[in-house]
Amino acid sequence: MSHISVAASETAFKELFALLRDNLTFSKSDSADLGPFSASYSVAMHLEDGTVDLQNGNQIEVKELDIKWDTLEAGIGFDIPEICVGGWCIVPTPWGCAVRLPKICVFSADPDIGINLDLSGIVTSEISVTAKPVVQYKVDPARTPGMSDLDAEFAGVPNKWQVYIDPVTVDIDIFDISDIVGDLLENAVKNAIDNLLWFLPSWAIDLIWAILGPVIDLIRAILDLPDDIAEWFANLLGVSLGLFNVIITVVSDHFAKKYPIYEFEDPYPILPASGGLIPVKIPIKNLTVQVNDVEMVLQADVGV
Amino acid sequence: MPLTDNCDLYGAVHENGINNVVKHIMRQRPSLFNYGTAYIAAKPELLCEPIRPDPAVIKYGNPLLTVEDPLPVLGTNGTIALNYCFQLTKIEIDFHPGNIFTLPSELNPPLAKQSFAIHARVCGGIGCPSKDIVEKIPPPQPPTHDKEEATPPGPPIIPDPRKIECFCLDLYVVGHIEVTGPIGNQKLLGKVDGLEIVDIEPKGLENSIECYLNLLVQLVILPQTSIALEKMVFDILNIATITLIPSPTSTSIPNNPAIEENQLKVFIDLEVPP
Repeated sequence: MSHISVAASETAFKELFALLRDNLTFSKSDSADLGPFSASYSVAMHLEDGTVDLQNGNQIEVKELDIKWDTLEAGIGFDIPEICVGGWCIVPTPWGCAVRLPKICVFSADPDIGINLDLSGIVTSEISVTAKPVVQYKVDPARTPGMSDLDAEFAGVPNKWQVYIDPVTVDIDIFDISDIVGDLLENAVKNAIDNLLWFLPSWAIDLIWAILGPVIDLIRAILDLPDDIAEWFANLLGVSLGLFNVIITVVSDHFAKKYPIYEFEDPYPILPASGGLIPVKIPIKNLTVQVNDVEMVLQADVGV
Repeated sequence: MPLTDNCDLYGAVHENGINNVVKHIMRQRPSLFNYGTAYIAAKPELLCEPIRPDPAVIKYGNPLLTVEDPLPVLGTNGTIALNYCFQLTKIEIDFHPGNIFTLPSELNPPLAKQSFAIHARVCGGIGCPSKDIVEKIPPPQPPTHDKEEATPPGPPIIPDPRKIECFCLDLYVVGHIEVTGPIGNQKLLGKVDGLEIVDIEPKGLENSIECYLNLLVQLVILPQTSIALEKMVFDILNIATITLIPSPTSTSIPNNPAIEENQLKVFIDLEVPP
């Protein structure tokens, strides 16, 4: 029989899970140049809902944990090929052109069009995690081989027992975006181009739009708008910019590396150093954590 | 049966674990268990029982015993005093059912349900000087009540002992554990139900010493070893926003805390703020 036993029921686990979940907030921004277009994002999120379930086989399952995007702004910049209108000779002479139409070039910059999609508050992601409790014995890398346990204690680098919730599978349903986002993006592109051409006379705008027809089609072809906007947008943010990995890492770290659910020094100090007296420390052996469908049980022995 | 069938959190500690902890404390902090004069501190070979400290105690120059003033001889106006030592050489705890040691008949063995027992071996002795040395000690001045004639006493004469006249006693305590204190600041506290010193005569001396030790254990030692419920679990979960309360007793949890199967068990419910 173990010297020390501590158990937490599934009910307690649900309450503790709620505390952990409610204490997580996260924000990040990044950008990348992807050739014909560039993209950037700025996100901030918190967690809501979800359930935790203890399972036989030493597993803990977190299901349908919602990621609420308090900020989800995506910036997309398009580098449209330069288009020039005018410059044609309308009065040719044997000595050259006497009168030319003025030549106007647009889309000379890179990117030519920058648009921002603000999806804050209208997008929800969902995450499910299956995890195992893992016991680790951490030897502080700053501890030198010649240090005794007491030397390590005084140097602030004691060994530690740590219990983590190690994610086994992380499944993220990244976006639940309605088709309205596709229209939002297409309109944003048209408005951006109109704004870019504000200084031109109307005949020139009409002419450029006539030329731009294939360009818009090209953009739509590139982006596959609006039919597959959700897939495209998720792919853009998730794969091209690595947001999937960021989310997985953040959520995994939150429930794992950053927050060991149980951590203590070994040997464990039970009486502090005082008045020149060394601390009294007891060695902890055989630390185990087991999960079944009703509780998590942690057990350990006191070394002799 | 699951450990948390009728509670949110469950904690248990086995008597073997506690006894191991006690041994570590005795080795690493020997001055908590050994007392004597400076003379004996300088000559620990005179102690009634040798101290076997952890090597770190020696390495870091920690004392083996707590130094106390010599024991004055009554009537000498503090001018003559004797070396002495007092040691707790063994402490062990036994949770029901008793299996670590046998209780003396005065404590009605076997150990009752929901009870714990403590066995402590106490050794002590006085550094009695030899007859030769006693004859060389000048007689002390008779005490005076005239303040003007009184001279301030110098350092006492402490005759060197050839050895310590030692005795050892076995002390047994039986008791139970209660939860005390207001909700949010509750503690597990030991309560003494009986105390016995084995083989000490006459009866009046035994009763007097037992009375003194009972007060020492009940009022000093056990309160200092009480365990705060919050600390016990907060240290484990590293979360400070939860209120812990003992699960109410019921047919499912007839005793909380419970002493059974050689363990001290605690059943706790969580209260998470909204």
